[in-house]
This record gives sequence, C-alpha cells and structure tokens, in this order.
Amino acid sequence: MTCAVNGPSLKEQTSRSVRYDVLLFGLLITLVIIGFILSLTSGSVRIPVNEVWNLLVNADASSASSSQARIVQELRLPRALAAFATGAMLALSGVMMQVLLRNPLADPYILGISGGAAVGALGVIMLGLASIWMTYAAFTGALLSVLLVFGLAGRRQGWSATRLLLTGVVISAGWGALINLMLSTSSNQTVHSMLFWLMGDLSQSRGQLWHFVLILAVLVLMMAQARPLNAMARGDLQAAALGVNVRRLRLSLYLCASLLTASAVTLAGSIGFVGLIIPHMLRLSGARDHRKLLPGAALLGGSFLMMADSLARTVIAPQQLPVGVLTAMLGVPAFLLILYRSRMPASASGNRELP
Amino acid sequence: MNPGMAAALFQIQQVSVTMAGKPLCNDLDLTLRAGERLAILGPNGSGKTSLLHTLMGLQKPRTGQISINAQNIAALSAAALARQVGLLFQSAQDEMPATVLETILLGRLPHQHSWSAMSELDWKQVERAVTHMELSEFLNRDVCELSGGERQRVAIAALLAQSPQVFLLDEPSNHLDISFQIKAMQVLSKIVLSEQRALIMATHDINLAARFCDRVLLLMGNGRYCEGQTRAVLTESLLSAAFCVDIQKISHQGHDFFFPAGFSPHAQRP
Repeated sequence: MTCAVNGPSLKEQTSRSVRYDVLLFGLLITLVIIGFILSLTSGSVRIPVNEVWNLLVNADASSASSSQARIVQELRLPRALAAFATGAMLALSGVMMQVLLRNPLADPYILGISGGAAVGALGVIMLGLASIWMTYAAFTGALLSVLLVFGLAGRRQGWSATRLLLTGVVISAGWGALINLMLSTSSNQTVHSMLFWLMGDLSQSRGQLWHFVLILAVLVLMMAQARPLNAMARGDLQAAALGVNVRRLRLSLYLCASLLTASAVTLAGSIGFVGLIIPHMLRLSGARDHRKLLPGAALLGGSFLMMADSLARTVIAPQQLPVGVLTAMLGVPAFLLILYRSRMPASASGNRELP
Repeated sequence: MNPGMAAALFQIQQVSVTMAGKPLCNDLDLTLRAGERLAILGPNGSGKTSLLHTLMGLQKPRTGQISINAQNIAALSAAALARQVGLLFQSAQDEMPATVLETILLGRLPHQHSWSAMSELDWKQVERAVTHMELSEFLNRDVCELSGGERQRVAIAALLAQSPQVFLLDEPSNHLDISFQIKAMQVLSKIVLSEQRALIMATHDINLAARFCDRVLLLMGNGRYCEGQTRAVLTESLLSAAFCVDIQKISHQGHDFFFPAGFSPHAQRP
C-alpha cells in the first residue's frame, strides 16, 4: 500500500496531544488559583494577597486582627466557594445536557429546571416569607420541574432527544409565563429583589461541603462513563451498537445534570451563560473528549464565575451588581475571541458556508 | 477442512421482522459460517436496514432468536455483543464536533474498561484500520468537514477498529468512489476469509454483491425471501420479480453483471 501508518506515528501524535492536555489543565488550575485570589482580595475593603494568606492560614490571627479576618473568613471565602461551586455545577451540567440532547445550543436551563426554581423563589419573595424559605422553595420548584419533564417525556418508549427537548422547552415556557405573572403583579419593592434573583446573584450564597461532594460524585460517576458519552455524542443508535446501555446512561445524565442545575440555581439564582459557553470554550480549545471536557468544564466554570463575581463586587463598589450581568459581559468577548482564533469549524452540524 | 463444514458462527432462527405492522421478513432461517459473506438485496423499504438493526440487537425481532457462537444475543450484554458483532450505519450523523482519530478510536469502546488506557491491541487495530482506509492524512480533521465518501471511510475504519467477528454493513458503498468501493470490500473480504469471521451487507449494488458475496438473501418486499448461493439467487427472473424491473444479465470474463433492460430513454420519447 502506498501510504502506510507506522506504529510510532499515531502514538507520537497522541503523546503530543498529552503534552497539550497537560498545558491546558495547568492553565485551568492557574485560572482557579487566580479566581480564588481575586475573590478573596477584591471588594469594598482591599486586602492584599499576603495578608489574605495569613488570615486564612493562621486561625488564631482571626481573634487578634479585627474585621479583616472576619471579612475574609466569614464573607469572602464562603462566597468564593459558592461562586466556584455554582460555576462548576453549571458548566458540568451544560456539558451533560449538550450530550443528552445532542444539541450544542443546550444549556442547564433548557429543560425548565431554572424556571421551576424561579417560580419557587419568587413565590417566597412575593409572599414576603423569610429568606431561608427561598432555598427550600427554589429546590422544590426545580425538582418539581425535573419530575414533570421526566414524567412527560419518559412516558411510553419515548426518551428521544427531540421529545425530551420539546417537553423541556414547553415546560420552561410555562414557568416563564408564571414568572411574568408574578413580576407584573408585584410591588416595585419586591420586583427589584425578584429581578436580582432572576439575573443570578451570589451575595447571599455560602458554599457548603455538600456542594463539593455533589460535584465530585457526579464527576466520578460521569468520568467512568466518559467514553460511552463520547459515543453518545455521535448518536444514540451508534452508541447502542458500540455496546453502550443508552437508556441507562441517558437516565443518569438527566438526573445528574438536573441535580447539579437545581443545586446551582438554589445557591445563586439563574446565572446565565456559564453552562452554555464554558463547554464550547473547552471544545474549541481541543478538549472534545469527555474525559477532558468534564473535569475541564468544572475547573473553567468555577474559576470563570469567581472572576465574574469579583468584578461584580468591585465595578460599581460599594454597590454590587448581580453576577449574572457580568457573566455575559465577560463571556461574550472571551468566547468570540476563542471562536475566531480556533481552527475548528463553528458549525457543529457540518453545514458548509458559501465562500 | 472443507470451508462449507466450518462451525456455525451466526445463527438466525425463525426470525420475523415487522415495521409499523407491515411484515418485512417472515420466519427467516439462516446460518452463517466462519468465512462466509452474505449480501442482503431488496427493493426500498423491504427491510434490509431493519433486519440488520435486529441482528445488532438494536430492535427485537417479533419472533425467533439470533445467536452468535451458540449464544442467544438477547442474553448477552450490549457490550459483550458489540465485541462480537459490529454495524456500519447507513449514514453517520455528526451534530457534535470530533476529529477523525477520535471517531475511529470509538470503535474500540466495547473492548475497553472505564478507566483503562489504550492497550497495545487497541492501537494495533486502530492503526490497521487507518492504513486500510488510507486516512493517515486526515486524523486531525473534523469529521464535519469531510466529504461524504471520506466520512464513509472513517465509519468503515471505526468498524475495522472495532474488529467484530460478524461485520454488519448497511450500504457500505454509500458515497464511496469506485476505487474505494472495491478497496473496502477487498479489505473486509480478506479479513473475513483469513480470520474466519463473517460479513452481512445490505446493498443496492447487485454487481458488488455478485462479486464479493458467497450467498445472497433477496427480500421480496412482502415478507417472503429467497436465500442461497449467489449464483442461484442472482438470476434474471428472481431479481426482476423482486425489483419489478426487467433485469438482465451479461457475462464477461467469468463474472456476471446485472443491469435494468428495456429501458432506452430514446424509446420513450414520442
């Protein structure tokens, strides 16, 4: 045969791509560190980096030095953790939804989970209940939406990507109508806090251990299925012919992605953009294999949201912006930059453009 | 040993396939031995693809059972089945971007564990597939950018990498230029014959079937079928009946060629 591939050449290419992956993940981890530093140092009170380190490491320093320690330990650290967790959950969920629906435009909210959560949260605001109820109401609303879509789309043999997508979009539209109804019948005072919630806001959020346990659990579960996920991105039948239990995988994708989204929305409201754009940024950077895409999305999503939140606190300090406003403002140019520098075709569907 | 006496590799017993209530094939009995190549011919909608999907376990037969190496495929896990039977789909859908290499590597999926790295065997099979389909220049291209024929070569390479004992091919010559049609069939034939595997291909190309297959299953389109040695089934009368067109045969250098006759464009002009 004229053109033969000899053993080393394929492996050589792979080892080159391994070096690239190491570089990529090095960069992602650096971004996470930068994100944390920014989150802990920025705000209406400036605290230099070396001091933040002291305040965090020396627990006894907290008693000694005043308000600075309390700001870092009780306000900024929990908020930074919440930002990281929310970003990681949204980006992971976005990756999973895009495979589940085999649609590059899918995001964590496309199946109406955020709508359900919003109706719950806004209901609490409208009724003037204590804000502690918002968490429960939002999570209940999200779960209700998950079960509703699941019950409707999973009936009969169903479960095709199109059927699921259509059901989710319609349920989502239903929640949207309810949200608009609540907004239009509420007083000016409450509408403001409702809008803040809808845009996504981290000012009341506290990252907790179980958020990270959830992220890790989903990550481990899905990493074990990373190769089957690669196959499923090529189509359900293709995956089934390669020995993937498609039904089970779709179910676990749906449940895990929903749980992540519900937790993220409950934690910080419906922050847009992260779940849609982060997976694509990574794919455009060459991480299309789910073994890299899943952990990469968690790291990039987390660091991205920490940076956006740091800006949200400082741009018009001492006032704070809802972080959802900034995710789009930062994300749009960053995404466009990567899109136009990338050699990968933008059209995933393979439609060729006219010259 | 006489090749006719080789062990039964793939057994189809009393299998009936229906689509939307319409019978496609009734009570199909067929045994494929190692080293045999079978063509499925038939008009549009006669059930070629449905039958292949049934053989791959993607849909259940209405009746009957299918076994590979004397094991009922219904009792096998999807992964265990995919290690032994592989299917080339009629068309690949590429909604999500992936490179050629990534797509071919997926063929090794049934042979891999969740956390395992690529083994030496995995690499060997992938390299062989890449060489056979002459794709070494394409490995880092996105599959969405490829032409139809190039995409088909990637799909065939992925199937070669999967390296099943029974190859199921749904229109393998789709989009391929004539040289790759021959090349793909030669490669597959060689593997089937030298490694004691088997091949079933659905095709519209009667001449490709005549040239590369030992046996033919002709679906008549109404649930009935004819099955037998290629020369016995590929006759003018049977083909004409199945396709409802007058099909004639000419022989050239010991090969039979089939073409639709009575079909002169000039004759139809007023």
